[in-house]
Amino acid sequence: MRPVPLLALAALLLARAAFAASPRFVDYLYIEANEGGSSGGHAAIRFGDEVYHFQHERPGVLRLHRDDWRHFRYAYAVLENRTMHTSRVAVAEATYARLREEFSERYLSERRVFEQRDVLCDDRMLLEVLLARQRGGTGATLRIRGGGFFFPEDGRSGPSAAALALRMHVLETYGPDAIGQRAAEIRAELARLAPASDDPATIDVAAPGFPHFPRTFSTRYRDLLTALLALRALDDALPLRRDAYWSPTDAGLQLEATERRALDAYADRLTGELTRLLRSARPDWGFAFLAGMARLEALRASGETGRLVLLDAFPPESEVMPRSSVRQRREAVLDLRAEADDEFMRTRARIQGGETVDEATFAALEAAGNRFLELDAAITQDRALRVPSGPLLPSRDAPWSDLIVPHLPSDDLVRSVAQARAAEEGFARRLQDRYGYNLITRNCVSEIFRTVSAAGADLGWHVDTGWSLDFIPFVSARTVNATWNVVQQSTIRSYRRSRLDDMVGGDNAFRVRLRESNVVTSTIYRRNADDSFFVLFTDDVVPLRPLFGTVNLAAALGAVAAGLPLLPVDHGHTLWSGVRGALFSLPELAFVSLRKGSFDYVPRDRRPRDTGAEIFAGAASAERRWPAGVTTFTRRPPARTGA
Amino acid sequence: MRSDGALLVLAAAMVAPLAGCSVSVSSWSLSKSVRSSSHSSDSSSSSSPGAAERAYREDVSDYTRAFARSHRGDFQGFQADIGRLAEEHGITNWEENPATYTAIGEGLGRAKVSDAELMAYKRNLSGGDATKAAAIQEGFDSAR
Repeated sequence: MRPVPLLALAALLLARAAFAASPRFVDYLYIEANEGGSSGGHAAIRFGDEVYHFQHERPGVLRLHRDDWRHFRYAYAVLENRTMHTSRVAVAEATYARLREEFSERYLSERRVFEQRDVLCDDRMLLEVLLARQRGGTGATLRIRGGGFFFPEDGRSGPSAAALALRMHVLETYGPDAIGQRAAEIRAELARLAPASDDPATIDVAAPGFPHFPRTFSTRYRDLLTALLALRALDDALPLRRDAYWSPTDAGLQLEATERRALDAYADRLTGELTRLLRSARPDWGFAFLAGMARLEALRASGETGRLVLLDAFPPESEVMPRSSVRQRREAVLDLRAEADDEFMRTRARIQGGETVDEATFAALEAAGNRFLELDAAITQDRALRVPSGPLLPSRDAPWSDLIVPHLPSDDLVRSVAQARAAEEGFARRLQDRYGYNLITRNCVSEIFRTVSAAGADLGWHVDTGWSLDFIPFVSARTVNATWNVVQQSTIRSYRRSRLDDMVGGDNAFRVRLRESNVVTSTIYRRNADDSFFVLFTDDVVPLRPLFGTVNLAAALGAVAAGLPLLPVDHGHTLWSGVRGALFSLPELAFVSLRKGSFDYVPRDRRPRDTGAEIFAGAASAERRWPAGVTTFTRRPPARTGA
Repeated sequence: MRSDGALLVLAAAMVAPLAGCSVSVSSWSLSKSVRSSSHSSDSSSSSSPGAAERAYREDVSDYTRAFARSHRGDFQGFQADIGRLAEEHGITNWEENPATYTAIGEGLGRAKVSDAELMAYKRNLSGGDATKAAAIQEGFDSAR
């Protein structure tokens, strides 16, 4: 044999030896385009059940997101109706760990930086309120997170027995003056509080390492004020506000004996935990105490009535779907309610089965119950539907006007307001510089490769998005396939195409394709208000694409013409839909299909099975069973000939 | 094949002003009624309690590792950050969750902090509770 093949063989053997001990897999995901902000396609990287991907968001920044794989697949392949291509990369255990750490650290780090943007905004607003107070104004209030369970008091009869018992336990533990003394200390601390002398405007968002921001004036003020509210709620043994919890009469909420005992036992433990929390060194204990005391009262009410009483855990910033939309989508909401009910029952079954209840278990029960009760109320009470944008955690806020203005000279406060405004503006500018989106140099592809490079991981080849077309998602996928240690490629079809494949397999193929080729007769697709105006699907008809595109273009121009007189009635919806429709028909004339149509909801029984996590996570096995809609091929890793 | 690629690039260029790594569907909030989008909140799903705790531990451990490598001494800032992180997992009183301390220990072990630094974390976070200090040590040892 000649030396070069020998070297290549040696390299291949070495590469295989590196993975032999415990191979792990990282998936590079390329998601095909759809219209709008996703018309360039998308890219992501997956570690087991975690998917990391960079998204372009307002105001023009690119942020790293982390999603559960099942959710990611549902959002992109089903709701967004986009085909996903997976390139499975074999890596050594140490490389896998390094890569995951790098992405996780970047995710946590970015989240902290963007939180700071909101904190600085709050800092400026609080100082303005305090300045107005110092000048005699009385109107402004602060909203205190967690306070909404007890404040403003709604005049219910007498103190809460559960809160009285907690109060007694606290006083027995720490002495009869414990609550009053702690409240006095906090008031004194609030009065002494002063904005930091160091200028937060100088903080560098791009500094190496994990970001560290000193606790701002508003953070310290809010933490202390929240603690004061917690102490007042405890001292007055305030009952829950009537609108702060769910207490439906549904027979399904009757507690079984084991459930009741488990919740009673948790309430007993919670009493001790809350008592210890009062002496905690953590600066933000006030919110945890308010949420815990509210939960304790709900738990005791459950024990007394034998029916599950849950706090309303929807955060104040939840999106609201208007009543009219709920009526229009009644079928979907009913299906969602059934799904939420199943989840709720599964959570309860864990407790009924004897699982010890701790905060995590109870939080899961509370969240599942809230999802079900909210959907149920939207249907049975014909009301708007709240949709949480984040985790369901009891955090109702309350307006608070009894503010303590720190003993600061007026000039100092004026200077602090100006400084806070400058800090806020400066931080926003630096944030834009550091995290600004750029179609070519800083997009969802470039940042994945930068993060891989930062991890120092050797995946087979260094991909450079600076001097190539690799910044385009589909080109990057080709490069990955050609140069990384890709051992398997697979395709997860978009929802519509997957369903179409199933239908064609079991019926007259021509008739099915004809029926499903357009938005009028399709049984898979129903018009989604988010989609631009179009008539024919072009993603599964390559030769006829320009012809279909011409029809779509003509139809969209027709919508534009119809949209003009409709302007006063539909506020430009038809017009804009037509304009976008025309724009996204143009690539179809050149055989390129971007628009696929999308879905706002897909019923459970029509969704692809959630088997992806099992397929890709962990080590490879010789035989695998693939779900419908997934096609694969396997190849040997390429022999590496470069760095 | 080459002309196909060229056409794709041409088409991509045609819509370049609109392109950009974001989601196109805004109305799928309806579907979020039963499942939140984030990994962490999803992980609180009752169907996978083990996964929920693992996700919490990984987050706390990753955060601790990153913090310990970059900063020293600001334990109030550390506690406040842990508080925010825990809330993403539905936990408000993280001090009562044993997994928190094991995960902090793991993060410190992965950051390869010195024995003196480990002692400082144990002293400042355990509040004199030997069980919490032992959990930090256990996590630290497991990651070394």
